[in-house]
Amino acid sequence: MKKLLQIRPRLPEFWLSDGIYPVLILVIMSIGILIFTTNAYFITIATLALIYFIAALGYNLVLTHAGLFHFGFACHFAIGGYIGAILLVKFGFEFIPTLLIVLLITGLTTLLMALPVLRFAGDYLAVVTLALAEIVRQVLINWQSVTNGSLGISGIPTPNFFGFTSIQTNYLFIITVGVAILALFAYQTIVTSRFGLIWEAIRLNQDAALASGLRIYNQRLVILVVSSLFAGVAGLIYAHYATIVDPSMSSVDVTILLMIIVILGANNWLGILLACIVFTALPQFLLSLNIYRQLFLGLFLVFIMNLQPGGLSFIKRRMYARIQRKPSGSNKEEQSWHISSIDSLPTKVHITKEPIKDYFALDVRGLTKKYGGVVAVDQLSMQVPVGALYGIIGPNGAGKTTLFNLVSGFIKPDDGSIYILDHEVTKWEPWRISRIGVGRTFQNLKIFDTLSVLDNVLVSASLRSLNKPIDRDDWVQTAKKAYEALEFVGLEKYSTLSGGSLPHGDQRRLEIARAIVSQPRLLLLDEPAAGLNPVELENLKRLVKSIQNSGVTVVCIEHNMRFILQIADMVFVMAEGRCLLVDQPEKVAHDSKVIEAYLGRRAISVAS
Amino acid sequence: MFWQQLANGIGLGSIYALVAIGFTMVYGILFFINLPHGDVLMVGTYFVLGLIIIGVPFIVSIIIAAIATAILGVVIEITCYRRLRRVRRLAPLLSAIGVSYILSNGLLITAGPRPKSFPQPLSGNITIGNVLIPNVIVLTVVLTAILSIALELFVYRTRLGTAIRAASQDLPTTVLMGINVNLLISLSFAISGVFACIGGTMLAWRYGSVSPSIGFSIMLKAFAACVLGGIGNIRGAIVGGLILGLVEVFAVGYISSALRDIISFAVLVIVLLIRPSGLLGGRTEVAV
Repeated sequence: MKKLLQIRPRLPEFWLSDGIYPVLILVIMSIGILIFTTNAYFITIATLALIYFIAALGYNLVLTHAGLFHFGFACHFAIGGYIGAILLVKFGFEFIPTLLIVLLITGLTTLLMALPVLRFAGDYLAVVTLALAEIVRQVLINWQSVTNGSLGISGIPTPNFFGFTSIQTNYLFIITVGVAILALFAYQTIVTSRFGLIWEAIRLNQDAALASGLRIYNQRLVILVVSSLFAGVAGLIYAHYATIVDPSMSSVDVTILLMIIVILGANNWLGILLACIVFTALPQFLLSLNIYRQLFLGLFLVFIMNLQPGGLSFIKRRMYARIQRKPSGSNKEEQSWHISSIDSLPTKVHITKEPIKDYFALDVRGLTKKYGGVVAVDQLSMQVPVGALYGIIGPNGAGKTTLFNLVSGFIKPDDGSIYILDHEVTKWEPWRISRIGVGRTFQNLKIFDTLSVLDNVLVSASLRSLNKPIDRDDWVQTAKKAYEALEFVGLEKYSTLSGGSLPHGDQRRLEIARAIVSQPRLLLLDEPAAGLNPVELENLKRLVKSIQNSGVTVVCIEHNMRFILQIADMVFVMAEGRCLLVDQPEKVAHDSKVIEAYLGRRAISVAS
Repeated sequence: MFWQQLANGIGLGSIYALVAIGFTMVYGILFFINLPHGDVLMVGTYFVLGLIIIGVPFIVSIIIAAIATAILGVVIEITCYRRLRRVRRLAPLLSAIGVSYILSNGLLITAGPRPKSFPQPLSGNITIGNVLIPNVIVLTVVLTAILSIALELFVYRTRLGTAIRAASQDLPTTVLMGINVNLLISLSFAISGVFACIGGTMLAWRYGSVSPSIGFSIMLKAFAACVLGGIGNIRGAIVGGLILGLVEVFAVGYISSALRDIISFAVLVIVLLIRPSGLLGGRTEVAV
């Protein structure tokens, strides 16, 4: 167990390494500034830098972790600022109740905005969020009675705690440091938690995330709301700092500044902090240059991106530094699969044998899918009993992968229905199908490239513990399960390498591990043997067989006839979207219709 | 009143269409949000103005400036984006922000912050019924039609155009077919520059003045127009630009000029909610 913790970069150990240590740096820096500076101007700049830091942490979650091009992020900043200003100036609220209400209302408004926004992805999302921020800005300008129009709300007092307040610059700075520490702590907790992992997974490969049972829409909703809270709080502090809020807080300029900070910060809190300091301090010091300032900023951005496209990534997270293929201690023998003890393993993966039921594991009736004029799957029916291992063979273009995509919900059928176990799943989304116990692999490998091998599996494993986000023991158990799944396929030695760095055959095994970790009852393997060498093939055969022995129904598409004939209980032959034949492997091998479909008419006469 | 607004709307819309075509050309190949597009447009417009001031005839200055803007677009592509083609999409975005800063502030320094008056030849009107259409609007619409038909013919009828369409479908495969993709990308930046220059000139001509700071907001309009019609799709950019122009003019005419931007962005969001990949369909990642 101890060893497991060492190789787990993402376990919540943040108390000692990822959480306390950055907070300490921040505290020391702030104390340093307070001790060594008597210059109020300098402290003012430091305060502003920290305000941007708080907002930028939130923006980093959206832009870098989740990969959402939210170009209207400034609107959350403005909303937080305005709510704060109204409460403070018009109602005379104290700081803490204001903060709570700001959090609440920022979150709620984001929830409202997310409803249209999340229907889009990529650059459509960019333009819709740009538009929303502009709408917010215009509303702030035109809603005179509440927002005081383009003049904004002024006269915001310094923060008031239970009647205590002070007008010293240091006072606001200390409060800002406090909030920044809380924000940083929250940020570190999020990115090291299962949510940080899941968001990255969704960004890296949507299909794989869906197949792992992730509900992408909901996760994105959470990201948007959580990140907007950072911006809302930053907006509130900014209101105190500037003593005035005005509609320009929601302008594109603010978003672009945050974008520069986040991209330069290279997905690292220290990098983001440095970028914040540079981009708030430098313009102030270069004030004499005035109009040349932005010109230089532009030149700087172009140069730094061309020289260092990763931004300030030299301060990379240790996590990524660890994800490198270790050259030592991996001689040929060790690299071979360690599944000799495979008979004992299935109990470890906790897959229970299904009692015999009156339903099929997979029951497809009259399934049809057309692409334009091409009928990919044509009135197809097939039944796979619980616990069986079915092979699907057929020439290229027979509709095998389309069938899998239909069954796992990635595409919707034009006609017909699909039953899996005791559910009708015809109209279900992929994540929902995955959650009733359907695991799948992909013909074209879909790996989370930059996640570690263990994290790849953990994405799928973490699903069952999402409702206990801060339960550490549960998370450790989940990691343990993921590790066991890796042991099961023989990849445990590579658990800290990045998924994309594995050779082809190992990536196939990784997909299988990812599919079995959530304890599926039906496993769909799409050409698992493609590109494997003879030794790997032999191991795969044992692996698939042992998965079946542990009670999982397996359906396997394969071109490798010998492989399928050796492992399958029944073979299902497809051609042109139809079922050509269902029979036992030995009979299929000698069936004239099958030979004709594969090799043409002349081959039959040769064979007979 | 209605017909007058309609004429004005089509006039403005065809300018937006010109700018949006330039934006969508680059997007179509590179999946790249060309943030400095509006600033390139401003620089192009000032090229025209500068040439007119030193006494070059109007038409000739537009042609020279269009060529110069095309070269500017290519230079930007080669120096600022080419090396970043293979890295994550955030790096070229930041480089683009940098280019935008350089161009807009460079212009601010050389041309000064105040608006300059722009010459308005052909300042008469055409009257149809009781609708008064300024000549410049007629000219804009005709020019937009000619240019977009020319571009359509180029993209759909020539081998180079076919190569561009291939590249926008699948860049890596196009490389494998032995096509010089660098040339294609430079070409699309050049075309984008020409359309930006002409669009900007028509805008300045229409209003009789030009000011250096509006580049970004024009880029936003072009982006919105592209997305409205379906991004990466030339016809989509034309349709989107026209709709956006009409919505703006009608919003000012019938509702309120203060609410102009709210209304046009609201229309954008609503259209996208109904047709998530734009009116004519564009390239889109599927949101789940």
